[in-house]
Amino acid sequence: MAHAWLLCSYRLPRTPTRLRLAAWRRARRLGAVLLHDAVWVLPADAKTREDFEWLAEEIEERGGSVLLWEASSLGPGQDRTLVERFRADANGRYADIAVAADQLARLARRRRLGQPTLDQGLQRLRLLERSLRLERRRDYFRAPGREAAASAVATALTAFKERTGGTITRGRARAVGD
Amino acid sequence: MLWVTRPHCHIDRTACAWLIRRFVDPDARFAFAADAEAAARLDGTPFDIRGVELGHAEGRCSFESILHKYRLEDPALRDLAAVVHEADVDDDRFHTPEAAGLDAVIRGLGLVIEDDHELFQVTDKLYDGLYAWFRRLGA
Repeated sequence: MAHAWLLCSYRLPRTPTRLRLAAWRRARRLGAVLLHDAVWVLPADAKTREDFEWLAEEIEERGGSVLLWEASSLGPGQDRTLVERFRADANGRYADIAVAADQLARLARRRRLGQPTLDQGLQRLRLLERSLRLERRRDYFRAPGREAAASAVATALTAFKERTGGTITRGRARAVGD
Repeated sequence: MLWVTRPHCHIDRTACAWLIRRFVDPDARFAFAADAEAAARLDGTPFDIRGVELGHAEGRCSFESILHKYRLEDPALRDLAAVVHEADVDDDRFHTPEAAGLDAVIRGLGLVIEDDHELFQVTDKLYDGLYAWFRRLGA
């Protein structure tokens, strides 16, 4: 199946550099891939379109200029290359998560472990779960690294539960205005 | 009454359209415009457009802004709002497992349904179902 892509190219004032950094981070957070140091790419759907539209508005508010396109590749090879690029980027991030989760699992199984270290570990575990959720959200082509990362986080969670006697819970928060 | 939003609707706008039709204005008609200025020319009530009252504000997504403005207090709507918020706003405020599934379904529908009016017909049913589900959970 041929993919539809969204392309985004922007220019921001050279200074202050933090504006450029913020835009770059925002695009990365969406899971967009930067091609040839010039064009950010996302697979097209209603959500990614909205994501790029918000990014564009922010850039314009900061004095930049933006171009957005919806495009299809002229050859299927190009689609495959792009999909692989998305997967490779996601795999790299999943691998970081897996490494951090393994470290945490080892920490939880240490023979001697003070309460402060345990609390800190739990905090890091929560952040890691959050990273995994973000990663799944921006993993547009089900990168193979997903499973290993998810299972490493699950293992770490189990290790902490065993350590604390199963008292890791997370409440269901209420909507705004409550 | 005419309600105006941006085209190519995802979760927040499809959910708002459902909410408006079911709880605010049963005779609602919908039109689409690229921005607040174009929406103003259509002379309708804009929603989920940057800078409008029924949009993102104070950490609320547009669905929550409509609940807030029309004082819709139904707990099942609050549950639905948490799902819409999580799927729409990337801020980890809620942990609703339904959000990821709803996100996938609506993204996918957008790939096969070009027309937003037609999309609303399908998503209205989806939200009817989700709402009924949350009603039962809270019964």
